[in-house]
Amino acid sequence: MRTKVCRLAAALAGLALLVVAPSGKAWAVVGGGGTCTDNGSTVSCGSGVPGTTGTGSGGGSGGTTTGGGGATTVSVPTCPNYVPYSSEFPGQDGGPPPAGATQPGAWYFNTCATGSATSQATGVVWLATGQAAPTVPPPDPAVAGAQAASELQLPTPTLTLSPSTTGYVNLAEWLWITSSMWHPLSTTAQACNAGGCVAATATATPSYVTWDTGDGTRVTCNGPGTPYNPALPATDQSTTCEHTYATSSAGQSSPDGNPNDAAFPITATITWTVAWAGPNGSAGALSSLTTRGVTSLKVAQIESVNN
Amino acid sequence: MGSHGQKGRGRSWTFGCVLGMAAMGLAACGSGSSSSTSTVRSTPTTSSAGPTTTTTGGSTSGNQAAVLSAWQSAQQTLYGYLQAPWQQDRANLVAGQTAATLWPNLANYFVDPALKSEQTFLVGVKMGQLNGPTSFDLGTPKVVALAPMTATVAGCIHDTGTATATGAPGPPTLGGGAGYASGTWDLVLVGGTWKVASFKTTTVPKC
Repeated sequence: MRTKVCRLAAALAGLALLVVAPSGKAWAVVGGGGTCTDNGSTVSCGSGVPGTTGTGSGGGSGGTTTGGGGATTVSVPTCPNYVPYSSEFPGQDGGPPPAGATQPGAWYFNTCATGSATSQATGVVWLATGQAAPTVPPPDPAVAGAQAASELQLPTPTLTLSPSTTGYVNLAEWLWITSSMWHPLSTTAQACNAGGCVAATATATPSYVTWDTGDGTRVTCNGPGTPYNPALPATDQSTTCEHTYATSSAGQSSPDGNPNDAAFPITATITWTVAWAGPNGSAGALSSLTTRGVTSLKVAQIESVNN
Repeated sequence: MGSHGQKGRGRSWTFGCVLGMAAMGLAACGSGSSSSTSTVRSTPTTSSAGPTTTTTGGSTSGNQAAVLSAWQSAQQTLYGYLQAPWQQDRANLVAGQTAATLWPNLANYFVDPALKSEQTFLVGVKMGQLNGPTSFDLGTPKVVALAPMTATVAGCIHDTGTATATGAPGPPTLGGGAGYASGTWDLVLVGGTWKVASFKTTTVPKC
């Protein structure tokens, strides 16, 4: 136990040190002058012990270390990197094999150390005696992209109308949503398997807004709409997102139960286009997403008298 | 008592040593005995729903609180996974799922090498068909060192250890048996979030 633990420690330390050590043996300590050795029964980590060369990590078949006069290089175990289960968990065998497994066999522990994260693919596999460890490619980046898309948290639109409290028949109603939410949103997710992990970023971009104005009309606007500015003359303003009601809201349901407050239910739905991007230029499109906000508007008929 | 987390002890010592070696020239690597080190399986006295964040420019007391909160959340997350029924986790492992997939929230609170240490411990517990500790007590951890990007928490915790289906203590190497452990945890600030990077604990008779 002790020996095993420190062997792994030394191996990992060697790997860690190699990241920063421009030269020297695997176990040479940067700036510390000490070395770490393991003779099989005793581990010595400290100063004054001649350096030795590491032979791999964790009792497995993983990394090899070379060193010499030039820059030290190391072959870090790739994923998957299977080691006997008992070497990782002394005295344990991992329990019964999976249903239908070929026997005899044994559990193996996947301990890979690709990149800076050694925890990427920790797991197990059952291998029949004599069976070669499987080669497992890392996940398809599209899987990570889809995962990222599922984790996107898109805002619910806030609807604003002008006139805001009561609209009028034959008067253009301006429609807009809060412009501050009209921007792309991204989330990154990671997909892992025994072969490693792959990260991808999903980005949702607002594309258009569909307004259901409650009178049977649908208005599609290619943007958030334009806020009406009451400080400016109406003649100096214009919008690309509006609707003109032809009938009043009389007879519609009333938000407060008062028939005099009958209003059209209004729904605005933002459609977001979604795409993902992964490593090495991998990318793709995903199904669009929508977010929806609701409000209501009382629409009155302006009476006029013809002389 | 005093025998829980033996396997974890080795791992924690190992990884703590790795960082120590990298930072301090391996001087401490051979100084301990495996029988006196342990992985702490603890629970927080408070919890948070997500990663704890802070800023390097915050007040000392604020940063200390953030560090403690992160540490507590890390321990609670770990215990939560330990206490989940092993049957489903083992089935998922057997089916080829990875620790990163099965216990994704660990990465919110741990980074390698501590992350891999805890993942490995969980694999051992689940594959060993063990139930997690039924109770645990984090004690009163304290921040004993605080720098802009690193912090150290010292504490002493207790848990009832892992157990087999019959209620017998799990193997010592897989955290079997109740016990107390005193130790230190080194945290690093990653992207504004404090995460446990390494730890070293020692079995003690009582906190």
